[in-house]
Amino acid sequence: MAYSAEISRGNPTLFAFLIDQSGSMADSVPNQSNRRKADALADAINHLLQNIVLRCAKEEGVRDYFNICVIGYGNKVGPAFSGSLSGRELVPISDVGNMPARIEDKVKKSDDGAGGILEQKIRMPIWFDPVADGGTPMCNALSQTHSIVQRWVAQYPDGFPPVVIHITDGESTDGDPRQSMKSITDLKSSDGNVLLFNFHVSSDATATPVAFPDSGASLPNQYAQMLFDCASPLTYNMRTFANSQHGMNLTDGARGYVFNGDMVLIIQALDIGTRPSNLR
Amino acid sequence: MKACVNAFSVQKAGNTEDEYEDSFWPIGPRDEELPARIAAADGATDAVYSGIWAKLLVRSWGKRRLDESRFQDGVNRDAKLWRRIIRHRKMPWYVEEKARAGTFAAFVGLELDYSQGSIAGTWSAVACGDCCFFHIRESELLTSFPVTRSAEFSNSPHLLSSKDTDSGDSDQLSKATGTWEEGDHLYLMSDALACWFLTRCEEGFVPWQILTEVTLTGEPPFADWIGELRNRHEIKNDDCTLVSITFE
Repeated sequence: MAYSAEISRGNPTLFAFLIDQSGSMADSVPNQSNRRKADALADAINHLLQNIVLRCAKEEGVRDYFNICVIGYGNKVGPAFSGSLSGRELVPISDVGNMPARIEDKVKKSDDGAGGILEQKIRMPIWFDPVADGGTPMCNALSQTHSIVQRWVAQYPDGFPPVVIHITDGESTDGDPRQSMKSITDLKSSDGNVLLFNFHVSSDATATPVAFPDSGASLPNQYAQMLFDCASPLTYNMRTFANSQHGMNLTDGARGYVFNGDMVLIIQALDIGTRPSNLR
Repeated sequence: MKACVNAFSVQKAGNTEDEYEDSFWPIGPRDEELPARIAAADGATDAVYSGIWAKLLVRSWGKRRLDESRFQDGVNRDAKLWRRIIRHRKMPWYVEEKARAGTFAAFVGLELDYSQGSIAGTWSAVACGDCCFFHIRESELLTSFPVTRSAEFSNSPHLLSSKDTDSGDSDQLSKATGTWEEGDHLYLMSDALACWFLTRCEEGFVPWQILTEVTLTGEPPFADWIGELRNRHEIKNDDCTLVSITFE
């Protein structure tokens, strides 16, 4: 069965993030005039990276089940880590865990189970700050990502295929990105094709959030439609995980497209060992 | 009458011995006077200090600090102990965050009893998660507990948590009882081996034959045998634990 290769320190896989840092990301997200799309994107990628590190974390350190690549595109195209990881193209997840740009102390509020609110101090690692500057050279960024992913599958021809997570508002300024996206998903290991997930951040206040639809018919605009069309179908394990652990009702045709939503279950669904169903 | 208990274990291929997170009780080959308590547990990969948690649970079961009738109270005591053990350790942000979510393990505990002068007795078992108990008499698998089909194994079972101390995991605790006779073979297994065992049963094989060879004659050695199963992709690459019980 495809997408069943073991993910381990001897057989790691690649998470490639492609993040839109163009000027249009300065627009506000729906119903929050003081929050820009760039802020939502920075929160999303910091949250995703935090979850990947946590999945690999054990008491002795972070196990290198994954390598991480982050390509930003806007005023320039290239590796986009901040802080001490700046300029690095491929970073083992242990380095990501141990070298965030900074760690912020925040207060997490949760239900205390007795009608009150429990406040806990938590440490929030930050790898990215919001950036919104320049055009949207999406095709160029996809081409750079293609080269990195191609080298990875040549190095790990039998590994779990790389996962590319693309976070954007969809408005490319250097051409139609469809072919560039297809050339990424045409890459494959013996375990399956490279997975491309499009995480769409939009200013459209009239559209409702969507997660992993099986049809693009009700999507709000042509950018959404394009990103849906080019996204990979979710794997069997991902659909099963989403349905059993997140109470979703995804069909076989569900694609890796999210509109103003959360994509963290993609990371939770990857099999690197027993994940308790009661872990929250 | 005594229970002859032998435990066998090997870590996931690619991991070091220190990274083995299953646990079992009693430790080492033992002839246990009846009544006796035996257990196996499997610390979750996606949790920190889960090997310590698994050790605490099997030890508590063996020493009767964890009891079927007030199971959650015993789990709560172990959860407190687990927190005390890790409390003063210096943790990077990711270990601190994971420790805050608690730790997790699958658990199966077995209690064996008998009446003086008899060559048979009773067993009772409790389980949470996918560590399993199997009872074999001659050529028949009498009991498969708590999992009965290989398709029931998954990567996200409900496990015993150090966190659910208020709500309790009692609803998720499975219980079973039965009787044993001299000549029976009882086994406790962590999930990868248990899944292999049930799969072979479903395919019409009698996997306890090889288990008898491995556990009673030592040939092939347990780690070598598991290595062969992994090479043939018959078993998932995971920590493997087998506790064998016979009577004499």
